[in-house]
Amino acid sequence: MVTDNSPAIKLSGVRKVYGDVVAVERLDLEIGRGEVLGLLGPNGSGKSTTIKMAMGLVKPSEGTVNVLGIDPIKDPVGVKKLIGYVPESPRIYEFLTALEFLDLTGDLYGMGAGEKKERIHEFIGAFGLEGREGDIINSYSDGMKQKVAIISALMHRPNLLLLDEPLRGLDPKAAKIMKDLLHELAGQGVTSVISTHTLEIAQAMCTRIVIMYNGRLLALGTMDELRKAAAMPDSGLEDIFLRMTGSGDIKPVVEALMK
Amino acid sequence: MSLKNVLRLAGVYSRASRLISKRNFRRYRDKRWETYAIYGLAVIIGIAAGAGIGYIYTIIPGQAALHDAIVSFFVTLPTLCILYSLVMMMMYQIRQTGVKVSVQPLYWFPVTWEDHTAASVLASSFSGTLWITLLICFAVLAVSVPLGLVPLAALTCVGLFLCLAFTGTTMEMFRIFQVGISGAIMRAAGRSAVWIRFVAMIVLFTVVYVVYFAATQSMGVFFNAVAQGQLTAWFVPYVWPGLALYAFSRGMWLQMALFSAGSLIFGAALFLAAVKLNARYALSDVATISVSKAYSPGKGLPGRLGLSGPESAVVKKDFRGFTRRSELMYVFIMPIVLLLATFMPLIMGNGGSSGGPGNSYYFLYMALLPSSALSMTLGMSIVGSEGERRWFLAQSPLLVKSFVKAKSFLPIMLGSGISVVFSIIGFVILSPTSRMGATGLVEGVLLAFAVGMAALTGGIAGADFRELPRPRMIRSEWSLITTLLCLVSGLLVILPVLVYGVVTSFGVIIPGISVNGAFLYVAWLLSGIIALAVVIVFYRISVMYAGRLLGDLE
Repeated sequence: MVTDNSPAIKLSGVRKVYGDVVAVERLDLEIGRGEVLGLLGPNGSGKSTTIKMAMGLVKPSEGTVNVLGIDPIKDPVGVKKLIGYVPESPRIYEFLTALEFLDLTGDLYGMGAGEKKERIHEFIGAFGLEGREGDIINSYSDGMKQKVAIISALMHRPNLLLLDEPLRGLDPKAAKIMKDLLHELAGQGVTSVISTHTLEIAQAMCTRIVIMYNGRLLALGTMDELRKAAAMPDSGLEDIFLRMTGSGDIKPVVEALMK
Repeated sequence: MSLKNVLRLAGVYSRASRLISKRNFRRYRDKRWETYAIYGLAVIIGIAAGAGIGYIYTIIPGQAALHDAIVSFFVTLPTLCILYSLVMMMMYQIRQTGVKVSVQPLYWFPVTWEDHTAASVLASSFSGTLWITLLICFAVLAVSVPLGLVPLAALTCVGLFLCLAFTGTTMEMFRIFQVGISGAIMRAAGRSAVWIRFVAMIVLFTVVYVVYFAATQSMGVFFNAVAQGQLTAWFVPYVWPGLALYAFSRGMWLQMALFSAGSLIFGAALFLAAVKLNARYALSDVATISVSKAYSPGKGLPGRLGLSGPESAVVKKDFRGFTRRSELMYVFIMPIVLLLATFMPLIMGNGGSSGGPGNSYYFLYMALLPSSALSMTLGMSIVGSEGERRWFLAQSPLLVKSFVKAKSFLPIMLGSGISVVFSIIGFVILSPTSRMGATGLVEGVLLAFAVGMAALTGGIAGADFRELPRPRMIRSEWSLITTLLCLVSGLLVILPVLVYGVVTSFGVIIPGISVNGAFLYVAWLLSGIIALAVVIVFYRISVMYAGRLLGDLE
């Protein structure tokens, strides 16, 4: 049962191991309702695995996961009904049209015919897919496919959004709509977890930021808290991130390449 | 045209075609020695075969007749090369339709369309046909020494390679032309494009398979037709290298010069046409197929048949997948090819006379086998066909039982439908008794249920979601296990009717034994009970495996 006071996501001592590789190491994280959390980290730092564990798509090797008051391992369908998910590179059914794909999504989430039709038309219009909605997705650009994946994550009014690089490939208008939408949804208590490499977006959109490195949580807090933790009071997120992940010394690399 | 570029690109393209034929795309390591070992082996076998024939020539009487026969054979070889390489290249192209990665012309590099076309022709000639041509060439050269036919043999080899180039270039033109034409048709066809493409693919696949079967099953007829037809078809440029050889063997120097020059000019013209087509269509965008902008949510047929909304949605999606994804369309071809392969000898043999036990056999074959084959292939592939889109169903709030029900719907319903249609067609064409007709219909539907469910269980347990270079859908060991499961399940289902049939046959042979006709209905009932039991058992196993499949995306 969803209780309003419970955190949107609570990970306690979560560890995920693939063979000899530790993808996520003893992660404790609590994300509140209506929060927009940025999940940052270099490639292979465990961001996507963390999101998949929250979805119930990957079982943790150790620890417990609680999403909107539900254990995703015990009641995966219950959790999935409340979540909107956009994976890192969403492979969608390219032999369907956008309308057919979104109709499929609506049916899987048990939406009524009227609501489904209304939401699909609203989103198709908002994301500028009008006129192409009846075309087979195979002929869409990457950005258009991303829009379809985003609409499919949003159309059933989820309580929690798990978004892996959601703005990749979007045109400026769609990106702006997405950002404003996440802001408005947060006001209504919808939680968003955004995994991204675009640090400017994370800085602009997120109320709190998590930095992961080698499967571990390196830092967690608001921008001010991160600045304080990194002892970089006037710096932006990019400098803080590079410092914390030990990749700050980039100048010699560029100089070597320019020789 | 830069020869260096052509050879470099041809190496890349033929390596790519080797790579996409391998099982493990990501970990594939190209072993050059393996590739060249095939050619080396072909050369050795060719020389050994040629030397053997040459030795026989030296020890048998009637050498003059054999000499003339071998000369006749030499002059038909280039035209035969066209035919066998065409069939093999067609099969190669068919295989390529299932490949999800393709070799795109490297248009951003300083490479001309001539370079690309020549490399592509060379690469497709290497793929599957070069070893045969090498084998023939070395056999021809080896046999020519004791016969004193070395000049003719050398020219035959030149003719063989020229004809191989003709076929390679023609296939290149056909491939590009098909891309361009199909793109134009798709754009013009609008909403009908999906079905036009579906029907066209089915027809194309069927024709290719029929040609392949016909060619491989009647090589003798084929050879005679070539030997006799080459001279009469002198106006067809593809036979000109063979005619040039014929003229050479008879000392007709003017004709030889004319056909040789004609062959070269024709080859050049083909190549230029292929270059033009490549430049025009090779980089054309994917044709946009527009289905419908009108949106009217509804239950659809599965919903009306009692499936829930999510189940019905998955079924509709799967049906669209199997009619729109070219790599999945093959499942619909199998029943057609099975039928054609069976009826071709019947039609060619006695014109399909009606009546008799032979026709009853063909009727049962028609009612039971194609539909069961369709249920089996669909059941095996319907889960693995999700491929990289598996995440979507895994993240959706879809119950495991709903997933299994939805996935079993198409294999069972399409199989049943095909069985009904084929039973009716078979009944009209082959005129079996009404009891035989009804038995075919009942058993066909029961088989579709049992085999479809058994195949789905294997398809879930052994699902292979890898899509590169081509969708695997089921692991090979599971494909074998599932086929066996389907075979056993199918035999169990038809066992009561089989027993009834055997006992009745004894009654025909041995006068003392008689079987009450009512036992046939008992056999139907028993078949139904067995089919139900098979479906329930496999449904439960499927649910167990599907839970694991959807619960963990690792």
